[in-house]
Amino acid sequence: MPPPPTRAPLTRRHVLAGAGAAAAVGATGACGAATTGGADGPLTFWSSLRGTENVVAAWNEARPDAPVQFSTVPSGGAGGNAKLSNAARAGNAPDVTSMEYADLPGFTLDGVTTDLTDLISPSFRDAILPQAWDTATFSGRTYAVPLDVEPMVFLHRPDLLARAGLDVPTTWEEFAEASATLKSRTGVDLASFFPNGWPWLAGYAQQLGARWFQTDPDAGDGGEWVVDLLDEPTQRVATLWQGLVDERNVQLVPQGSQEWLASLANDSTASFIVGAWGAANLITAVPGGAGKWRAAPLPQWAGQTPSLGVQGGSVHVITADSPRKERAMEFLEWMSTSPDSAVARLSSGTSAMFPAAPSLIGPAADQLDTSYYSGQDYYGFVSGQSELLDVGWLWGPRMQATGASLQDGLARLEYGTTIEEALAAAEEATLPDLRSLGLGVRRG
Amino acid sequence: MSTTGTTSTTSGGPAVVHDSVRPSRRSQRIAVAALLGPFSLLLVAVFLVPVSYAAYLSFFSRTHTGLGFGNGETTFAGLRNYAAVLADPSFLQGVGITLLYVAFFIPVVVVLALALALLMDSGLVHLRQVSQTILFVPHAVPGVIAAVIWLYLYTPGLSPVTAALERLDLQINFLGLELLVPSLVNIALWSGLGYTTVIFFAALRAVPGELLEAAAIDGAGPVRTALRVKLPLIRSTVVTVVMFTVIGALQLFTEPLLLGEVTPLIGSRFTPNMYIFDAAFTRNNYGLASAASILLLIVCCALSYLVSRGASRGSRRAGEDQA
Repeated sequence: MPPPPTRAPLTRRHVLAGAGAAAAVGATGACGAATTGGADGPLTFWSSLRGTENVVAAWNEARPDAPVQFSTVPSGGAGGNAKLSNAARAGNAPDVTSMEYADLPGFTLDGVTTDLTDLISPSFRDAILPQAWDTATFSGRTYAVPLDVEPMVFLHRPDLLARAGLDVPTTWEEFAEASATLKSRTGVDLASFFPNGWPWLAGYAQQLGARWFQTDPDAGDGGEWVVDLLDEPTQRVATLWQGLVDERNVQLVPQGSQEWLASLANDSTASFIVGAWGAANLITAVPGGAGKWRAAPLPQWAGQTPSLGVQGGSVHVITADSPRKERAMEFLEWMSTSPDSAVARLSSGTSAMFPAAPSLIGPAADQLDTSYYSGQDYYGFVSGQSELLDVGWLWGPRMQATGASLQDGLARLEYGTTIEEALAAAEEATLPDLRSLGLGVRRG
Repeated sequence: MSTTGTTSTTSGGPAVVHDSVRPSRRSQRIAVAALLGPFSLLLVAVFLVPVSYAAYLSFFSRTHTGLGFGNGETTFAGLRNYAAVLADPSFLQGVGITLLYVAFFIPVVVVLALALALLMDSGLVHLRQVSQTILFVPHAVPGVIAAVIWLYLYTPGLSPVTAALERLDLQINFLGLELLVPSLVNIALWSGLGYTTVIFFAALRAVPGELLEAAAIDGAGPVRTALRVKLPLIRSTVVTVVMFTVIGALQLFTEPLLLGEVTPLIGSRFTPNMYIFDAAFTRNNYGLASAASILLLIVCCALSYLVSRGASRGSRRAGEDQA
């Protein structure tokens, strides 16, 4: 049976609601089995990730005995998350779906995901970077299979830096100085600060060891979430960027906006700091930049052990009501570790995601046209960077809402709100939400 | 009608006459049921049932303990959701913004609509039918379409208005922090002014001619007649309109939601209604959304009550004045 059309879950939800909300949650299991064709039916799969249809086609060709039925859905923030929540409530969620790392704690709390710990074979566990498993594991149980990990990289224009007599900054202190020099000598912005890009701010903070969310399993009644968007590392990061923004040494511009793209195309911004995936997006978004861009490590904090935060990245989960969990796991293992899957996903050249399975780096590298980066061994470079990835970062139980609150504050940067104020307001707006779910919560 | 001289019969049709009052009462009951039935049915189906369900959801919601992984169940939550809403600075901020909007919008729309209605009623306006229609037409445009039209006129780089102003060396950002609420008020004014004017005008038409003649004989000019005779007489209409407009304004949703597409200053919890939408569909927190809905409902009911009580008191006072 094909996946239900978008409106169907809503209708079902209301019918169930009428029948009594208390019963609804319990009833969904039975519905799921009934509506999706039993344990022998094809595996249903939703994803918003680029190139997934090619991956599914490759699987269906190789494994006609275990067909997968794929639907493209909007990305999480664009309605995909709401669609998944509604489908899960109505009992017609797909067997497998992709989501961002940041959304995994929320969907796990809501009971949408399955505890996969016992389904993951030891060899599969070894095939994927431990940092990636770490972000998919809560209280010792693993709820998702990582697809990619995305250490932040410094995509930049060496020619624009050279014009001001500058080298690539290796520390954030150098970065701040370089931004001032570059701006005063040539009028070029060294980088952009994205008021609509909370994951970037989170990535910068993570690099310095910030922990916006932590769990304290021994506190209170069954553990507490510790929320601290203004811990010491985050404050240092906020101070750095606040200074850059205040002195107008970086560009304050929405990520993805025409204004921002134009500034990249007309040589007035010298870098794009982004998760490793962004290298391919730059190629499509700014085709005129071919041969001018290079990738360098993100600056480090002087006196600190080198470390990197992430920006982006996705996982696949098996939904709780799926009657085909074993088969789904087989498919997920193939998607995350098979070279065929990586080639199918990346062959269109629209993504430069960094696979969570190191064995796929070679096949992935072959798919990226590196002439844009003057033939630089991009995947080799990212591979080295991935060793610096911070371990222990945890996303919040309602991360998109926390992020949206943060962006509400950052949108007012040009009217005098500070980054710290935005962080404080986002923390304030997050706590009531978590408390209303009954979670143990305290501020850090 | 009834030979026994019973005063009633609301049934309208020729009542069958009997010598007791009972049949008449029965027909009265049938009439009441027939007249109130459809209303009551709809009231139950589209108001009482959803409200009760929302109240239920606000008290019985998905509850976790501790870290919450794998232990959610639907239990009685008491006032937890209400406490969370009231402690949420983003909700209170939304309430503040809505109150600011109301404080802007209500005086402007009432004063302008009254002025226009009085002008039309005074006979000073030629082509009354035409001007009334022109004023009313924007109200026929659905709110979403109106918001899209204004979105186009507000968005810098797209709008011919900002382009024209720029040619005059005027940099105006209709979606900037200072003009955001006035811009929203402007949309509401554009769609609501004609409608309000028509209601006021209809009320003015009902003012008895003798009173106006008497005022004229006593030497009152048109302005004094308007302010001292006509306005007090349509006071209850004004109060009703204010009440409906306030309730409508408290539910501000479509316009800011659409403008939020082009200005990051309008976040996902900009107004209480947007907060409710965000709580339910972004945060997947139906208990919180329901609690906020119930709170909004209580505020709307309380406001209606206060306004209508103020109105009845006011009209009593007006009556005493005239006596």
